Amino acid sequence: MADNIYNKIYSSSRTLFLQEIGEKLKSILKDKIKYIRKIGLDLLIVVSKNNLYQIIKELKDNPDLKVNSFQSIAALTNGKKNFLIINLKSFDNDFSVLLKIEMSQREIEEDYREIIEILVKFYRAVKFYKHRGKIISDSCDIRILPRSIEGLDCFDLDILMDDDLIRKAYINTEIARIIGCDYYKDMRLYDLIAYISRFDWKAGIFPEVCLCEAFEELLQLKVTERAQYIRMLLCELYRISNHIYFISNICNVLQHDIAYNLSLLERERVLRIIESITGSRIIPNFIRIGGVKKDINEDIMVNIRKSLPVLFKNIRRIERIMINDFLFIERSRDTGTIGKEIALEYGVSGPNLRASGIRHDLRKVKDSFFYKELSFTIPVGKSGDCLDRISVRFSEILQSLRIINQIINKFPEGDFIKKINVSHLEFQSSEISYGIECPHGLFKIYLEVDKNNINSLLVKGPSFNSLILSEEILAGNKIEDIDLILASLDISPGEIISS
Amino acid sequence: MLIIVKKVFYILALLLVNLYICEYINNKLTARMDLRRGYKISGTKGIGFPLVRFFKYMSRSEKTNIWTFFIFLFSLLIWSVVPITANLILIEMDYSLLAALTFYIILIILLFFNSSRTSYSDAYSESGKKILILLSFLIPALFSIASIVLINKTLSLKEIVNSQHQYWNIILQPLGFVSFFISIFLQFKLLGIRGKSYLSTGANIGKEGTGLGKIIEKFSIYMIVFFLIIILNILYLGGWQGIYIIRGEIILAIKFYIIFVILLLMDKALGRIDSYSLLVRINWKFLIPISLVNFIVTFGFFIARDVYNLI
Repeated sequence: MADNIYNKIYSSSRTLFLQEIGEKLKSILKDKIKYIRKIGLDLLIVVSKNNLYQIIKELKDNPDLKVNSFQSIAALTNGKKNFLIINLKSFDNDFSVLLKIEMSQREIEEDYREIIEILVKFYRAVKFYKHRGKIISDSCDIRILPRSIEGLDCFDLDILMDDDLIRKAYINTEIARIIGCDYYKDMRLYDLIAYISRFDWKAGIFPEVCLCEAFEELLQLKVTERAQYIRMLLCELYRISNHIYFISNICNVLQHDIAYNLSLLERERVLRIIESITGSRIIPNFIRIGGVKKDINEDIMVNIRKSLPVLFKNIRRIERIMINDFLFIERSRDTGTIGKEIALEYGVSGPNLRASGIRHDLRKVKDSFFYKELSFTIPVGKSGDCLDRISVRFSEILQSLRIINQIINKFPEGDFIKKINVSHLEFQSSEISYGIECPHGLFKIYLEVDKNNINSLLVKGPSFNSLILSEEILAGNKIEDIDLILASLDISPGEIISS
Repeated sequence: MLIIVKKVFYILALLLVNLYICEYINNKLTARMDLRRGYKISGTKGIGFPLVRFFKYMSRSEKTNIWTFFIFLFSLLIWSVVPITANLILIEMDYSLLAALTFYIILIILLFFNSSRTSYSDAYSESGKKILILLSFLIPALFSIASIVLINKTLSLKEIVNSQHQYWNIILQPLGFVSFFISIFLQFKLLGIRGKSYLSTGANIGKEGTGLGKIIEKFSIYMIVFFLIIILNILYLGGWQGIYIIRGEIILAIKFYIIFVILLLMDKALGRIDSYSLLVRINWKFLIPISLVNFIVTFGFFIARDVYNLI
């Protein structure tokens, strides 16, 4: 029994691998760092500001490490805890590091620009974080206001033109920005689970799953098999729902009315299944620490089993309608191309990364769920243009249907929740970084807990990196393709306004 | 005099009835393809709804200008030279084809002037571009028409129909028909008959303008579409030539509605063409070459037969 409860979630091979990398980093960086520790998926390195340049230089230039991808930078200032976290990743060696710089609130305000200047020397993507207000307002030819681009009402787009072509694009997210760390203040744990989905409302259940799994790992709590399967089922259903919504957005941009209506009908079908399981549609609040809120009964299973072939057939039909339309192919081919290197450099993840030809899916890498027991493939694109991004998502829908079919066939018996008293939870004073493969990419949270308090919570959504990258790829395209390129990156406004 | 008044009345009545039916078909068909119901299904399947909509537009704020008046005038004047049936024509002349084309081009240019009423400079430049592309689609159409003129040796629309009593021109000019039909379809698509007219207002401001101005704009677009379909019928599909005992007028009406529905379905099945370069490519790399090849072949045949008496 004790073994069953206090069982490590990660496989030992992954833990050993990270430990090994940690040892290597420790020996390479030696005096420059304060300490290094494995937290969840990542290695946390606490450094001082003075050594930052040397550390990043070593991380990037050392052939054994090759940390060449910038993921995110976030500052947390809440009076008690003030620090700045830089997330970097090495795709070659498959590990990511969190550089944590502890400073006072005033120091963060003063030195933030200096740190950005250091980072810009190594990573192009950091240019986005520089203050560029003056450049933008002085010299832009066209300003596209948030309401003009459908579904993306969270940034201004300033464009410098060269006849019909875009010479340079600037994205200004300073409007509509709320501070992520204020989100959870004075909030109980249950409420936090309900509210966290608002960070990425397009992805539905994924933020909840991510948060609950992070807590489970902190508690070293092993969830029952049935609960894991229910979570997997819901994740895949939400993945399908999100991808169909994405396709409907593309159809809306291209004014392809038939495919648009058909795709919305299929999304409705998926949402009805989700509603029958969870009781709500967009933000379900269904996942609990230790399991899920409700069990799935046999009627729902029968319903899903009936819906699967219909969904499969209809999705294939929509795909055929779109692919057979030469106008659609003409518009999307060679538009907004993202190369492999640039995708890695800017830290793009999820289907956008896979469309560029890189086979990376956290479902295969990490083994928190039972994905290793199921057979599915990871679709990849070739050139990384809009057409690839769309076709990868179509293939992912079909793969998700395949996964759901296997889940239903293998659905295990047992409890759906491990009952624990959440009001008396006590954590050890520690940090954790946890990520999950959500439909747009890697959804990541960084948590610091102390007894029964959550000291800090940082959320990093995948859309922000895609948005930074869109500045690069918009240049050289035509003005009428802006809608299509931005829609094809599947940017979730919830993440942009709150990360 | 009485005959002319009678003819005007018949033409107007015919156009209005057609307009009503086409608007109804357009709404129902597009709604069905959107998986909606369209006009309210209460009572007689919303048969009076186009009229209700007309009154609704009328009662909203008016936005009219001098171009609206001219557009209205020319969209009616165009029917004075285009014969709907053998007898329904006001001005009979030998160059009715040229006159009809002139009216058509003037109507398109007037729509361009009308788009200057918008206060959005982007929308104006966008609609300007679209109208210029629309005019460029006339080039393959003109090549096809030239081939037909060579075959039938006349510029009168009435005589073109009469000369098809044996064979329709589509049999003699299949390539010309293809290029003419695609050209018409692309013009139809650019005109935007499905409620979202981007022609006069630009892509981003589809809803601009209500009231009488909007009605006249819509009316003119329908008139252009009717004109295109009637011209296609006259040039290639035998116009009002009867088949066996069925009267020519009925055959023409059937052909008219079939082509209208085909155009609507094709418009609906394909996405919006935003890319101007694509439109230009379709025109200059596909339509103009095939219509030119068709014209050259016809011209060569004509010279070989009539000048050198080879065939």
